[in-house]
Amino acid sequence: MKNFLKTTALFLLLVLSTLVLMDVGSDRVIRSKARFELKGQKSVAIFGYSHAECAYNDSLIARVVNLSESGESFFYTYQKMRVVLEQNPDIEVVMIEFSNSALYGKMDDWTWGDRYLSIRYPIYAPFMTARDQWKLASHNARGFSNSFSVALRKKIWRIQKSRYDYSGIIGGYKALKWSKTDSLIKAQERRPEGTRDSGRSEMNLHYLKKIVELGSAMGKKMYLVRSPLHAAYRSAVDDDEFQRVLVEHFPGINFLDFAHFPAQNHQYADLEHLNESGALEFSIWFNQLIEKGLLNAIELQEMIDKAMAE
Amino acid sequence: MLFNSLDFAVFLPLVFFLYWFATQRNLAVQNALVVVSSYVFYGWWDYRFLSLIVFSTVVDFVVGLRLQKQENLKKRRTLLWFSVLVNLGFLGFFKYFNFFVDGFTDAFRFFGQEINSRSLDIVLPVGISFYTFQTLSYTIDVYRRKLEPTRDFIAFSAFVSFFPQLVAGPIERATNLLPQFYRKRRFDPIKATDGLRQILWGLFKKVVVADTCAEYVNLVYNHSVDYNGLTLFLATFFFAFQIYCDFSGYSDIAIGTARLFGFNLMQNFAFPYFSRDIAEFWRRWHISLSTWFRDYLYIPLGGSRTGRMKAVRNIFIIFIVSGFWHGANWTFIAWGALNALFFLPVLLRGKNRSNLDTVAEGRRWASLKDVTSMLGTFLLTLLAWIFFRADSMAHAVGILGKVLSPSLFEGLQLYANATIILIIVFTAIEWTGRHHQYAIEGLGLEQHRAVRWTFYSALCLAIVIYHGVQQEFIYFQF
Repeated sequence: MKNFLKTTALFLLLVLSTLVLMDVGSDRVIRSKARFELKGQKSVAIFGYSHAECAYNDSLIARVVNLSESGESFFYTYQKMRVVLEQNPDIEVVMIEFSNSALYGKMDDWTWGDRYLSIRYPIYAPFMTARDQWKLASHNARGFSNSFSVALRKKIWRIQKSRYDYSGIIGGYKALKWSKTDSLIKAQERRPEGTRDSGRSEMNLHYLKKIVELGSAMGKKMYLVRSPLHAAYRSAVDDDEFQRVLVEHFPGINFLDFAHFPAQNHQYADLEHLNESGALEFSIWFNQLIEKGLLNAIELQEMIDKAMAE
Repeated sequence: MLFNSLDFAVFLPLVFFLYWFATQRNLAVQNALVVVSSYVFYGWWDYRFLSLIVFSTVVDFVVGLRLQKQENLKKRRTLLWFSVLVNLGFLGFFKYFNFFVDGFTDAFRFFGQEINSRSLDIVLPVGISFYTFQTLSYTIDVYRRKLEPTRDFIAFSAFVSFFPQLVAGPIERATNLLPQFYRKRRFDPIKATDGLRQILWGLFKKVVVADTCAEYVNLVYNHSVDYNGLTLFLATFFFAFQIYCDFSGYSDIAIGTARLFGFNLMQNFAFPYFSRDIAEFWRRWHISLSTWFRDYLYIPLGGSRTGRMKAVRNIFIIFIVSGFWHGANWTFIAWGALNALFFLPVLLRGKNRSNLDTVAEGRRWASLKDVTSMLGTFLLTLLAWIFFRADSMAHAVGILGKVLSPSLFEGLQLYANATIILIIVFTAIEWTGRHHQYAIEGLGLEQHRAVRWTFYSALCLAIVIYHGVQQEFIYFQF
C-alpha cells in the first residue's frame, strides 16, 4: 500500500508539475506578446457592462473608445483595464460605468458563476495574479477547474496560431435594434416587486475601488459615470443606497450622472439599456458635451443637468 | 456525481482512505462504508430518489429470504412476480408513463376520437434501468436456485448500490458481485494500479474522444436540415465513436474504481467495432445487458432451439425490448428492430457463433477478408446509430434520406480534421490492445516505466486540456 501511494503521489506530482509549467509558460508567452493596442487616436476609454456598452456609440464620439461588455463585473474590468492602459499611454481619461445594478448580488455571479467564468477567465487568465485566480477558485472550485482547462486549451491554441491580438474581444459598442420598454413598464406596474435585483456584491465594490486606485496611480483622470436609465427603473431602485455608497467609498472621484437623460420609451431597448436610436441621440449629445469642455469643467453635474434640460 | 467531475476527484480518494485505513479490520463496517458512500454518490444528484433504491433493496432482500423458505411452486412464482412487478413498476412509471399516455392519445386521435390526457412532468431517476435489472437478476437467480439468498442486509445493500456501477453499469449478476461482499478484501497493489490505469483510459475516452465528437455531432444533428449527406454521414461516424467512448469509458472508470476497492466487475465492452458480423458485435457491445437479456429473456423464450420461426420471433423480442430499455421513444425501438434485422441473416445461416475469437488473433494486421467484414459490420451499426441519435422517427428518416441521397458525394460542409486524427490514433491504440480487457492494459505489463509514465502523463494532460465542456454520460438518461 505504501509503495502504491508513493508511486501514485509521485506520478500525480509529475503531471501537476507539467501542468503548472504549461500554464505558467503559456501565460508568460502570451503576456509578452498580447496586443491590446486601440485603433485611432483615443484619449478617453469607457469601461463597464451592458449599460455603457449599449449607450456610447464611440464611432460618433471623438477620441472616445467604448470597451464595455455585457455581463462584465469589475473583477474582469480591472484585469482588462490594467493591460489596456499599459499598452495605450495616450489614454488620459478613464470612465467607469457605475449604476445601481453594480451593487447587487448578481455581480458575484458575473464574477464566478459558471457561465461568465467560462467566458471571461480564458480571456483574462494570463493577465491575472495568482491571488485573483485563487479568489475565483475559492468561490467556485468546480467552475474554475472547468474554466482552467478551457483557458489552457485556448492559450495553447493562441501560441500555436500566433493569435495575440486581443483588441477584437475586449468589448465595444453594441447596437440593440429593438424596444420592449412599454411592455416592461406594464409588467412592472402589475408586479412592482417582481422585477428588481437584490443582495449586495462586496467583491464588485472592492474591485471598483481597485480600478479607481489603479487608474489614479497610473496618472489617469478617473470618472464614474451612470448611463441613461428609464424613469420606471429609477423609481424602482433604492437610489439613496447608491448615493450613500458613492459618497462613502468614492468621495474624491468625479461622478457623471446621465441617468436622467431625456430619452423616449422607443429609444430604450429595456428599462436599463438604450437601443440603437437612443444611443445615437445620446452619443451625439455626449460628444457635444465633451467638445464644450465637460472634462475640464469644475461643476460637472451642473453642466450635465443644464445640457440635459436644453 | 459524475466520474469526470471535481466532486468525484475529491470523493474517490476520501472513500479510498476510509475504506483501506479506517474500516479494513471489520468486513461489516467496510461494507457499511460502501453503502453510505454509494448513497452519498447517488444522493449528490438527487437524494429524494435514494428512497427508490432503498425500497427496491428491501423488497428484493425480503423476497429472496422468503423464496428460500418457500417450497410451494405457486407461492414461489407469486413471490417472484411480486418482485418483478415492483421493480418493473417503478421503472415503467418513471420511464414509460408519458410514452404510453401519449401513445394512447395518438391512437385514439388516429381513429377520430379526441381524448383528454395529461403527461406528467416526471424526472427519470438516474440509473434506475441499471439497478432495477441488477436486483431482478438476484431474485430470478434465487428463484431458479442458482444462488443462495443472502442474510446479510448490509452486503446486499452494498451489492445493489455499489457506487462505481450504480448509475450506468456494468449490470452485475448477484452470482458474481454479491459473494465478493462476503469475503475480506485485501489490498492488491497490482490490481489497484491496473484499476487506476483503466480509470485513466476511461476518462480519456470520455473527456477527450467522446466529448470532442459530441461537439460536431450535436451541431450537425441539431441542424440536420442544413447539412448534406456527407456531413451527416461524418456526424453519424463521429456519433458511433462518441457513444462507444462515452459508454465504454464510463464502464472502464467503473471497473477501474471497483478494482481500487478490491472488486472485480465484468467486462462490458470488448472492442465491438472490430467485430466481423453483427452477432459478434452484440457479444462485444454492452455485454452486461446483452447477456442479461440472453439469460433472463431469450433463453426462457426458447432461444434458437425451438424452431426457425420462434428463433426469429425471439430475436426480434430481445432486440426490441433492448431498444425500449434504452428509452421511451420510437427511435430506440427502430434501432432495436434494425439490429434484429441485421442479426437475422447470420442466425438463419447458423453463423451467429462463427466469430468467437478476437480478430487477427496472434497477428498484427487483419486479413483483407476480416477488414471487409469489420467495415461491413461497422456500416450496419452506423445505419442503426442514426435512429439511436435522432430526436424522432421523422428526424431519423430525414437524415437517412440525405445520407442515402446523391448529396453523400457532395463536399463536406463542416471540417473536423483534428477529430478525425484523434479517432485514427484512438482506433490504432484500441487495435493494438484488442487482446486485453481494455486497450492499454498491456502497456502496464509490457513497457518500461519511462514509456508508461510518459504515455500516462500525455493522457492526463489531454484530459485536463480537453476537460471543460463537461458533458453528462449519455447512458445516464437510460
